[in-house]
Amino acid sequence: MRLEANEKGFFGEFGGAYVPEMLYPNVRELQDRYVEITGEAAFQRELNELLRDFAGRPTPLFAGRRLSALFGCEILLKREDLLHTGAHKINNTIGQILLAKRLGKTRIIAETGAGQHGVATATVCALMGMPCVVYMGEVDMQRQALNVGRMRMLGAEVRGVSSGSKTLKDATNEAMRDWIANPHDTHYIIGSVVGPHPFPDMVARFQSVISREIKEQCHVLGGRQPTHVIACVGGGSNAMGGFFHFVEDEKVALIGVEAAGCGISSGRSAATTALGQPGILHGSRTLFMQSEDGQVEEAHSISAGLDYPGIGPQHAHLHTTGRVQYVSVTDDESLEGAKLLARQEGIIPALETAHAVAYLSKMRFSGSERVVVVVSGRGDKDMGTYLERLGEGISR
Amino acid sequence: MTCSRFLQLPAERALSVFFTAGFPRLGDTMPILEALQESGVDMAEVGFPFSDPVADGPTIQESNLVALGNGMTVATLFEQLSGLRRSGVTMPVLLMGYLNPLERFGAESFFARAAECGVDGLILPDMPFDEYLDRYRALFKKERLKPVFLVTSRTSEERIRAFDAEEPAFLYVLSSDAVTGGRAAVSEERDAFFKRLKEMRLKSKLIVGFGVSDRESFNAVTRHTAGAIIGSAFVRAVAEAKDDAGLREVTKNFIAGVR
Repeated sequence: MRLEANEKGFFGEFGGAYVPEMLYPNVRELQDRYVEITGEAAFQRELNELLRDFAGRPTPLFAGRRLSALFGCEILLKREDLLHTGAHKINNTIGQILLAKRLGKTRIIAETGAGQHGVATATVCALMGMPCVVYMGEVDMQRQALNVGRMRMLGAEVRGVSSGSKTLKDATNEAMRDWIANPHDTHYIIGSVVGPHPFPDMVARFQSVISREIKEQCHVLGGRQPTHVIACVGGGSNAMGGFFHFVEDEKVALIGVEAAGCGISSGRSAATTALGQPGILHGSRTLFMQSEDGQVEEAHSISAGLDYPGIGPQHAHLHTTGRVQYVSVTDDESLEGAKLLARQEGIIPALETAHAVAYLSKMRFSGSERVVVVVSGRGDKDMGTYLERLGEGISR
Repeated sequence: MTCSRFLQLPAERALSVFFTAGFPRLGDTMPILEALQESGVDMAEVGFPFSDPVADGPTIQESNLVALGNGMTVATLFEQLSGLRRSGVTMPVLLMGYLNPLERFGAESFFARAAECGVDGLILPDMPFDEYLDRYRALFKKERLKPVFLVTSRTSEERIRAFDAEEPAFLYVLSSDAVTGGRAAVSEERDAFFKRLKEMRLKSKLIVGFGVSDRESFNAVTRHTAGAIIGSAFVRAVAEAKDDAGLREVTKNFIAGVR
């Protein structure tokens, strides 16, 4: 199958641009121009230079020897955690700020959950000398205080959001309200493959560098393409980037790992494919957790980056068609995943990434597999949670 | 078929009021509509609540959450409105809200129930015009409900003419770039926008909303248009009402303060 939006921005039955008239001109301008602008040779040159010299691409595809021995198959780690700012998010923010400049925008806004997208946005705004406002739920500001400090040091204004669940969903609402109020000068850098068309497609294209490199690097590492690609899914941007160039190759099994929180049936979960229904949220038709009456339900995950009640429309489509297998791991399992990667390979992953790692323990391997795990981010921001939740167990 | 109630609207200075169904108390929907009718309001918009109203400011967001906390649902709202036209409410009444609760209820049933209750039109801010043409227009026609389209100072003339051709209940003209509950934009710029619309000689009435809160702003925006909608300011006013008598009192005083 192919993963292309139709002219109205739909992937199968999911996607589209459900925005109020106040945002129509902005969204329409992006729809009309993003393919052309991002395709220009000068744009691509500037993007690739910044990805290389500023962000640190390409990132290594590291053969995890001890993990491979443990699971009895070949495990390769795509090291997005080594990027500048510590996660894959910067692939997208560099792309979008170059686009915003070409559209003549002079002010940037963003939403953030774990703070990684906020930091990546604040970083490129500092780089380009543009004012930056980041909306962040108050709950997330507490649990990701380090990233709040980083954004402020980079010169961004962090606005706390106290409505609803005070997490990513509410920060997204508030960023959209800001864009409605400031449509002329402002570009909204959405951080995941969510939102009205063209954001899901545009963000996926900017993140697709992950799977492009995996393909090239697998070629160098013995020529064999992966049998599996595994990535965590909140909104789904690192997974979309990791899957992008493999979607058409049905021989490659694609696995998206969602956050089960306290357990799928616990009432405190963020496992959208298990619990969600189709509906319209944040500008697109997609799958999200909602009540019988169509009210959006609050998600729960130990990981602020996965704590979102929906997934992007491409993921909803890939789930419905069965091309990608979506699974979930609990908060507790993710903590074990983090410890596993730290102890076996010397890499402390972000809590989000820890979900993808943890799923390895639930798989059965025959020995011939070549499994790529997207290590979407590093764990510095989560040390507080690790210390608190692992307690004594951190040294055992 | 009964004659469209929108024909009753006065040619100028029509006053329309928005409120959130189920706020401040679950059962306040009909009492508020009756109080608005008694106070001489020309039209009412009943908001069906949504957990994530992105086009709304803090006042209406909060009223949505309170209404949902009170147990308001789409099904409950239709039960409350089932006696709408037997209660002495003769003005046009529209429902306003986001697509997801409507879709979850089932679009066909939603339109049918609204029509059965004697509702006259629907305002769905996150309904894309494309989707209206492809899918919802047939439902509006089938149930003889009128759509409403939002127009901002950045909406192209071509698009406004396409809206006008659909014979909406009215064009909902936004007074400023903002979510609900804000302040109306600088008047010169805004008046130029209203005049430009007026000069287009559209078939549809121009009714201004967003940022209209009192007599001063009502008078200012209705100089060049057919009327205006007050939402957040009224929602703030009724928040204080403790019982039906209080609602009537608050509503009467509020409307007297605008007119």
